[in-house]
Amino acid sequence: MAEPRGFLADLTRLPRLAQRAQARLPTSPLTWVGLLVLVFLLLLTIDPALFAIGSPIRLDIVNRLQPPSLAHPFGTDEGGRDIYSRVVWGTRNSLGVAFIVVLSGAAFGVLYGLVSGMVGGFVDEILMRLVDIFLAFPAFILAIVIAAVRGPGLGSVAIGLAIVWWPGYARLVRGKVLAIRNLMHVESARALGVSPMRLAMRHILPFVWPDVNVRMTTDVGYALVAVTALSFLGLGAQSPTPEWGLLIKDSFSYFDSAWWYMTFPGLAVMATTMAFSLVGDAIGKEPD
Amino acid sequence: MSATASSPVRSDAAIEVVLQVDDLVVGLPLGRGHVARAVNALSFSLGKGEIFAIVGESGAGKSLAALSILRLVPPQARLSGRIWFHGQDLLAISPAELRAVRGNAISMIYQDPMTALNPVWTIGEQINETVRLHQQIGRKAAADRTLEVLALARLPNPRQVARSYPHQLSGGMLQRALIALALSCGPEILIADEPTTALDVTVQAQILAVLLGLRDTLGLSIILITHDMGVVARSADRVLVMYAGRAVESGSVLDVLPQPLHPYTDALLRSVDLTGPRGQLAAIPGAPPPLGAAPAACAFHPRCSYVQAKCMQAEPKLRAVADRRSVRCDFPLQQVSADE
Repeated sequence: MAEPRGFLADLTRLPRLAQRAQARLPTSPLTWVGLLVLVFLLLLTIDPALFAIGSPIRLDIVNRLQPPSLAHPFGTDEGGRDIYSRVVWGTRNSLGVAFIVVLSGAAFGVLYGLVSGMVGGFVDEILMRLVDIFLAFPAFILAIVIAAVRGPGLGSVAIGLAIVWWPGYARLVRGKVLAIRNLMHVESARALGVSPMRLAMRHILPFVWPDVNVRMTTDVGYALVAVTALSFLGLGAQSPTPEWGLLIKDSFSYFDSAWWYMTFPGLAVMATTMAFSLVGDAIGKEPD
Repeated sequence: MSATASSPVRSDAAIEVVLQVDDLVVGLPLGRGHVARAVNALSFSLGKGEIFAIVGESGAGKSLAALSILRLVPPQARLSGRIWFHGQDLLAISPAELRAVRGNAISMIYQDPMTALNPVWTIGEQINETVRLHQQIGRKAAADRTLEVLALARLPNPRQVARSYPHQLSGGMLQRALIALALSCGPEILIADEPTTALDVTVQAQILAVLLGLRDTLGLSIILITHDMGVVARSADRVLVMYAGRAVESGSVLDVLPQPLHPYTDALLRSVDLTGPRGQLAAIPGAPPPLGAAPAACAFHPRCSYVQAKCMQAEPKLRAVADRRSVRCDFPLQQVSADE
């Protein structure tokens, strides 16, 4: 008779949840690689000091442009700074901004698409034409313009990219809402007197979520490339801030004499993008 | 609206009328200003504790008519007429007022129980949501009410059902869960849109038994939309036959089924087997008229085996032929068919 309630009831469900989770663990080794890299990157973003061996900004002119050694696994740059530490500390800046871009873009886009799909009619028409305008304009150029107008800096990069990032989500969500809105269970909830707001949150949004999830995961990789590209163009982080795009930009002057300088930041961008892409694919293939 | 707010419900000596539909028209825009009347000048009343069946083939407008009661028709459909419920016209009240009626005083059961429930919430959560939406009661009281209505819909082991997700239950159990959901706020009227169509024949009988039981124990009034004369014969008190958006015959099931007056009702009854494997089933030749065809004649005349010249000149009027019985035919079948 005594049914566990609330917190206790959740606890009793834990073993079942664990079982279900086990059944859904990825089977592909590539997905595992992606997941491991993501976990590692997450730790790096949370606390770079855990992995860095020295300061990312301390100058040591005597040891400038040293090749990789035990003391400097990725070598040193033109100021004698440890490139390994700069890459490690750069994770937070590069990936952090990419996360912010995707999260804010998705948050606004989902809300926008939800409103557009739910209200429908004339409002929908106007909202979607607005999205078309954004999508018709080359996104990267628009981001460059926005960042350039605000002046260089990681904040400008985040704002510029977020502004071009949301329309894709708006269109995705709006399309899903239009399809889900006509499902029988939504109709039946309406027949029970559920208000439009509640319909959207409880009966429509949960069905939009899986698609948004997949898109967000793969998008982090693309956003990272965009962030580093803007920094590479000099619109993002400014020296001596450690940031992957900036590192690659600075390395350009030495690309024929110090191969390690551009190789390691470049590998960091590539590995991160691939990891998000692999995991995103795996989530996308997962049956709902 | 307020000038006519006093309900014109005719108080029958025997039956208290809970819902009255007057001159309901559902117009579907066809483009270029044309409007098809998918439901045309439909009037009927529902008595307390009555099971009222609306019968017709696909496209006859029976579902649209039922959906109109709670204004659940597609957004482009235009409704006119009056639907009186407790002195208010359901077609005239505000969306917020309407939401207070939906699921509360009048609720709906849909045809396909497999899709009518939200797959991401448990049955219990969905019933709880509805109860708490309409009644100011606490979590505990709502949970108790949930178990109560699940039992009312004759679901074995309500506790377990409440914890289940829709995909974990069978079609028959889901339909009962849906009935429980519809009952959760103690409605006066239940609109059942083909409640048994998606189910096995054996389960159909169980669901009908549940509905009949609810009428008897709770005094529920039920509008039953169906195309199945067998279902009508087994459960309904009164029946309204629709053809091409119009009522063609209505009356007590005990009068209409043994002695149909309209040729369409007669043909419909001949095309199903109510009595067992004897005699020949007769299909009705032809197809219903397309939506939007102008009725300058009896809509059924191209398919009618008793068609006369007059049938093609003007549409017959619906006329009362006896107490609570009417027919839209100028040449009603007076005689009992020979093979009945």
